[in-house]
Amino acid sequence: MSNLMYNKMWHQTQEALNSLLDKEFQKMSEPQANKVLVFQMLATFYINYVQIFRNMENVYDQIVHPQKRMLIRKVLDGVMGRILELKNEMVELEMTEFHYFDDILQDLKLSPQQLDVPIPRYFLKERLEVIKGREKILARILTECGLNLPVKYAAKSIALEEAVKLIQIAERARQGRLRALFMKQIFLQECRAKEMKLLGHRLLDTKLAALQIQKVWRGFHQCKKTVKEREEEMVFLGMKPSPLFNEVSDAIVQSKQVTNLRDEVQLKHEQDYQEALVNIKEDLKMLEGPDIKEHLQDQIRQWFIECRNLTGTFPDYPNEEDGGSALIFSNKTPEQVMGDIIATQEEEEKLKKKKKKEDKENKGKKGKKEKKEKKEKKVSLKEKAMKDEDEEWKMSPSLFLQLMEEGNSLYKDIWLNKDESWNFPQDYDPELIKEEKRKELEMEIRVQVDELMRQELKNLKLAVNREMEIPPRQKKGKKEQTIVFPREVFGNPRVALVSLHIRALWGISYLSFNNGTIESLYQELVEKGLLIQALKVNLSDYIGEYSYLGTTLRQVAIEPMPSLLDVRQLITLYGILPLGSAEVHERAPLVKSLLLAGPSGVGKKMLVHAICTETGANLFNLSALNIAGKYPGKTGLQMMIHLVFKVARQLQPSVVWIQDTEKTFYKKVPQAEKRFEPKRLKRYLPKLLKLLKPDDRILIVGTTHRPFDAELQPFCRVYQKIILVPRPDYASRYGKFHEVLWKEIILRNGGKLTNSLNISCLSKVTDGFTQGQIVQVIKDVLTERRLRQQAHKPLTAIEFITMMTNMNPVYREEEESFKNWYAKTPLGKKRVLSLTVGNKEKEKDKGKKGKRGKKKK
Amino acid sequence: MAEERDAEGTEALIAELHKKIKDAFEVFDHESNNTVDVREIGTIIRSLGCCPTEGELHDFIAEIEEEEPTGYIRFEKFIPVMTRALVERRYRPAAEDILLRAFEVLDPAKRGFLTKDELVKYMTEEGEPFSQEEMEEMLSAAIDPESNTINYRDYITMMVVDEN
Repeated sequence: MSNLMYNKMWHQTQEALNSLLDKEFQKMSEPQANKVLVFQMLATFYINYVQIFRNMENVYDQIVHPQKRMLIRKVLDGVMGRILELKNEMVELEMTEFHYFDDILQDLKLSPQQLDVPIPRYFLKERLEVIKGREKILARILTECGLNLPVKYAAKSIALEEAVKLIQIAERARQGRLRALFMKQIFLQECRAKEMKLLGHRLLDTKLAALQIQKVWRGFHQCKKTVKEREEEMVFLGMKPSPLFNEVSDAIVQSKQVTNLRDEVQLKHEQDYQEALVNIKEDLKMLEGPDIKEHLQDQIRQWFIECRNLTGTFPDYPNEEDGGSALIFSNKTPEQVMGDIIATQEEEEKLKKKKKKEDKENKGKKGKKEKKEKKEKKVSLKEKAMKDEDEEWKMSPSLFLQLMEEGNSLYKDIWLNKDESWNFPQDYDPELIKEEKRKELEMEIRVQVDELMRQELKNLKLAVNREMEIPPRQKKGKKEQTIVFPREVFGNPRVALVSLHIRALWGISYLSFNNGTIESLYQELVEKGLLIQALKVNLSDYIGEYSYLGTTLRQVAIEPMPSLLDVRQLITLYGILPLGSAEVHERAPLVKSLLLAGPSGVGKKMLVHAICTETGANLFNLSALNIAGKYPGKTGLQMMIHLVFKVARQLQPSVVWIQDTEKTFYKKVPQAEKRFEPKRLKRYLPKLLKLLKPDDRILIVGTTHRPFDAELQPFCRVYQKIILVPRPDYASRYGKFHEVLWKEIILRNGGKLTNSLNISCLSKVTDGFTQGQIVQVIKDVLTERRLRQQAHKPLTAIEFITMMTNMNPVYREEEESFKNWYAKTPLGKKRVLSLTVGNKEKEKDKGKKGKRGKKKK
Repeated sequence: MAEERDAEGTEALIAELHKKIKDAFEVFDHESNNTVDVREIGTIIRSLGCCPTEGELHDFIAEIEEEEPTGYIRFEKFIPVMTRALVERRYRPAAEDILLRAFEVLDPAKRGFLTKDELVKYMTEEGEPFSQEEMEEMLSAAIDPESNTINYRDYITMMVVDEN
């Protein structure tokens, strides 16, 4: 698509965002009492934001104008954050991680697929170099310590003699077979010849000979025709895909090419832009610098004189920290300025103190605030339930609305009505840079000028008034200066601070660590097997189907099992978006830890790897079995944790994965596993969570297929969000899901699909099996040997089915036990509570639904 | 019952084997008098999916030859020994990966191919050396005409026995 097209898309999206923001501000002010209405409102916003996010992401990926992209990025992050905030609101309102919007979708005329939250492509694109470099290093380390070599043949080398012999045997056998085949043909020919002789010489007649040939040929021809017709009939009836079905259309190929081309242009423009930033500034300095300087000096001199005329004395020169002479000209008369200088200094000190406080609070990632809120909510929730929800609900303040508003107004100021007819290739806009740089330049020059003028003022005072100059008060200013400093500057010292904090906590001598560079620590972790290579899987590979029955089931108070699509959404929202964008991670509702619970083989592990792949995160494996025997003892364990989190922090984003995490929280450690000390980590996990700050993009992910074995309380305290990963549900099973799954995975393992492989039959037969099992079966069947045989022996369904019969499907009881367990977790409890309250109401109304309410309990 | 059925199954299996052997034998029985030239025995065994060495072949022939070597082998002598070999799964073909490893021994640099000279040298000087004829036949099949080398990965697929 063209620049024009993307620009248009962008403008449309901005417009939509604009109107949406207006609506939000409207709704913000008016409190709502009705829970249902509130949810409706939230959901509508959520869906609208998702739509904008989808468009914006697309536009951001493809627009090549560097300055536009900067703005879009800002808005994009804002929208992303807002989506997370809204989701959080909905979770707290509805007491469930999953929401169903069928009715709203209908109103908005959207399809369920449009609800999908995409993963911004810039997560990977912009870090491609880093990720690749890291992969290389990882691979190198792995090969160096010989961990990478797949466990090859036990008896590695064959003696030369033996090898030659093997080949000779095989070759002789081949030649023998070939010769036998050849001889057989001769033999058969002879047989036929003999038969002919017996049959006599009837064929000598040309007429008969022709007839013979015609007969055979007609048969052959008709046969072929029938096959073809049958094929066409099948396609016509829709029993078979058309032959062109699997071919990629030219349009798609072309659009891919264009996309790639645009990527290149984008990169080039970005480089040009960065160069231009420097060049234009230089030029400006040369051309306009002297003028600006003179102009400033004149202004300041004027001020001196005016001040003297009015007050009789020369003014004090404002401190650098206050902005130097810039302060003077902020639309004030000289007297005011005089008075203000003193007043503002005091005021600002106060302000700064305030800010300091605020900052601190903010740094606590408004965590405290939120926790308080949550606590209040928890308390109020019960009350709410009691009081029949007549309490008024208000949206909690958003941090991203402001960001989006900024972006939006910037857009309106600069881009909305901009004439870009001159800029066909969508290169950077030099005027914009100039404007920006002019300001910057002025600042720089002002500092120089201030220095000069200060001297001048001193001289003036000396000359005219013989006044003693008062030493400028600088001490306090400086100290506070650092505190008000924005985040970026703060990032690094904070890391140091945090590690200091850990030091204090765990009291270990850290001398040895500090000698090690990050690279060496990284290497150590890899060698110990704590840092592992993430498999290359995309989240989109986790194929799922929308849960069409969600709303209906909820209306009759049946809690539906989440669908695969729901799970994928949650992973995107809680895992990938915050990990991918620092901006979002810092301000959105923080999710530090995630638990994926579900029967084995449903794709928990895959989801973990997908998070890493999609965000380019490092993957640390702190599973009980993996750390067993590594870094023994208490100090060892502390050291390990310190190491892991140090590297994770430095090379963020990172994912810390704890497989079979129930082992860490065992109610009772089984005898067989005692020697692994599975509970080693238990005491440290909560501490660790406390140490994770909003700007540490680290996510702890636990996976478990036996959550019931764990102690519930500490378990749920560690894991903020619990996601049940279901086996494929009805829609997924009988829909395209299994078929797609089978096809995809067979293709990915090198298999070829032919007509002799009946996929739809396979998918029907394998109902009830998990994705993991299917993958396992395919891998078992498609050995290297089998793949090579494919050319002359196509795959058949029966091969897979025989393998499949060895596996156990997931039974309903197992699924129920997961549901029951989930009902005991904090969020689950709340949900049940709110449901039963709701039901009691209905009971009063109808006196009928009692049964269900009790069942739910 | 089960044993009976088992026995039946084995019998059927053996009958099938006999048929196979008979078919293979017939091809070389030019006189139609249930004898074949002793030099064809190797071909017959190999056409039945077996991969014996020359040494093993020699032993095999020694076992079925008449006391006074006539140069011909009788079917009655051949069939029991051959059936036994098939049932016991003697002379089983080497798996593909083993062959690959064997080739890799000859190609220590892991280039993925062997030159013609290398192959000729190894095949005619080591192990049970190939005859001129055998060597030529191998080269005619194995050499990639474009690069004039032997891409052994491809060639292995031709060498292995398709079990069905």
